[in-house]
Amino acid sequence: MPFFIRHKDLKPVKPTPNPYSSRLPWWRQHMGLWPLLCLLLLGGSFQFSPHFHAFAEQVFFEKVSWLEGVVARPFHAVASLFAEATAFRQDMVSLRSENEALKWKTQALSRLHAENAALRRALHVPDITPYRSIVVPVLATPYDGLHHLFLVGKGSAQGLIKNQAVIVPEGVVGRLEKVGQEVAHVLLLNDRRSRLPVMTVSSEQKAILAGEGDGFPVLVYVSNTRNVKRGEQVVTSGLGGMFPVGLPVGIVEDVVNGKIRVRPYAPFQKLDWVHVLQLPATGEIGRALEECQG
Amino acid sequence: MKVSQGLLSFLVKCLPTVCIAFLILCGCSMQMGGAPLLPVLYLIPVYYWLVFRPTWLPIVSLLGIGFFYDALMGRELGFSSAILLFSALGLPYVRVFITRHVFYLMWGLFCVYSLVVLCLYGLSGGILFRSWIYGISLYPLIAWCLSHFHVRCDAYV
Repeated sequence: MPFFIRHKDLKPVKPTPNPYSSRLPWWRQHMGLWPLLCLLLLGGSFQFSPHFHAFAEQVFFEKVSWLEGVVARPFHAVASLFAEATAFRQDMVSLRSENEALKWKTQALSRLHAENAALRRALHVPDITPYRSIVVPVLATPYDGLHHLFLVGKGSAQGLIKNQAVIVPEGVVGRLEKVGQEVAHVLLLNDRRSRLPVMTVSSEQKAILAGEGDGFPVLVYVSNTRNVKRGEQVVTSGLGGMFPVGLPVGIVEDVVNGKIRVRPYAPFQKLDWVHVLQLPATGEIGRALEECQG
Repeated sequence: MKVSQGLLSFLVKCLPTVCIAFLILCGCSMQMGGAPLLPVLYLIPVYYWLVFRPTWLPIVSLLGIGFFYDALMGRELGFSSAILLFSALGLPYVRVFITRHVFYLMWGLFCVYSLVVLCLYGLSGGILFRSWIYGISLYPLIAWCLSHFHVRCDAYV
């Protein structure tokens, strides 16, 4: 049997500008022009009407990601079933011991908690409310060499909103870029379009963490790069109101010629579940939202 | 159930589009050593059908596939469609090379085509090279599957 099947019609075929027969009706003869017209309109809308372009992108995203969700969900379920089955016994043993340790720790902390609350009241320090979060499964990680995204299995129907912070216990993962009805896109920290306000812990330098498309985003707009040292921890600065203050982001990997590369804490390749923070909107975003609602 | 010949023929002609969409869905998360498989992976069936059966992959389907890919990958909507439309303009000229012992020539032309498209997509450096190598290595396998698929579908059209 030949490796590659030879076709019966072996004569060379001359290229023709229109592959359709001339016997087709007139509207089908000119069908090739319509896509070009659509593309031109789309390009024009991108340039001159961003609102229409954003609407078109959202509509396509909703449809396509729903389909991707349908395809990816069974694979995710089977994969997590296997992973859970193999790690179940080991996890149970470790969780039991961890639970016992946490019980003792909770008992010790309850006294401190009451004392802390009393001191806060005495000093008139407002209470810090813990952030609520929604746990969402990672369905797929579409990657084309430039864009770093996660497709997660919950959407606006479950209360997700665009630009919410996405974290894991290790650190920040990214933010919600597009939110559909049942699925959403998470823009990761190392994507080229990602910008995150951060600060270094020891040198207290505020900066923007900009993705470069590889595994190491860089710090830009640092006022004094000489103060930043290798191995220093980077946390969110809370500017802009999208992320709360102090979430761990990564550590400074190296500083070469003023370029500060950061290694994110979040293990992007190993994530099956992420947390989406339900933050009260504050700062510029909060004001903008209030204006919109008003 | 009796299916009319016209409907059957139409369904068979839709199969290349469905096959490309399925390949995009399955391959969107695949990567080897940090290099993605996808842009080249979905270019293989596009190239195959545009060269061997351009009428089974009409321009409207290419436009739809481009939008589908852009929406899934978070790219600017319409960019892939434009690339695929230009492919549809250029690839029929490869048909003049279809002769009896054609496979290596077709493979070589695909290497050139995929490299150009990857550069247009904006890939560079090691990722471009590795992604391209993975894609052209997969070409014989996928083209072999597609050629079997093609011959069987020919019987219904």
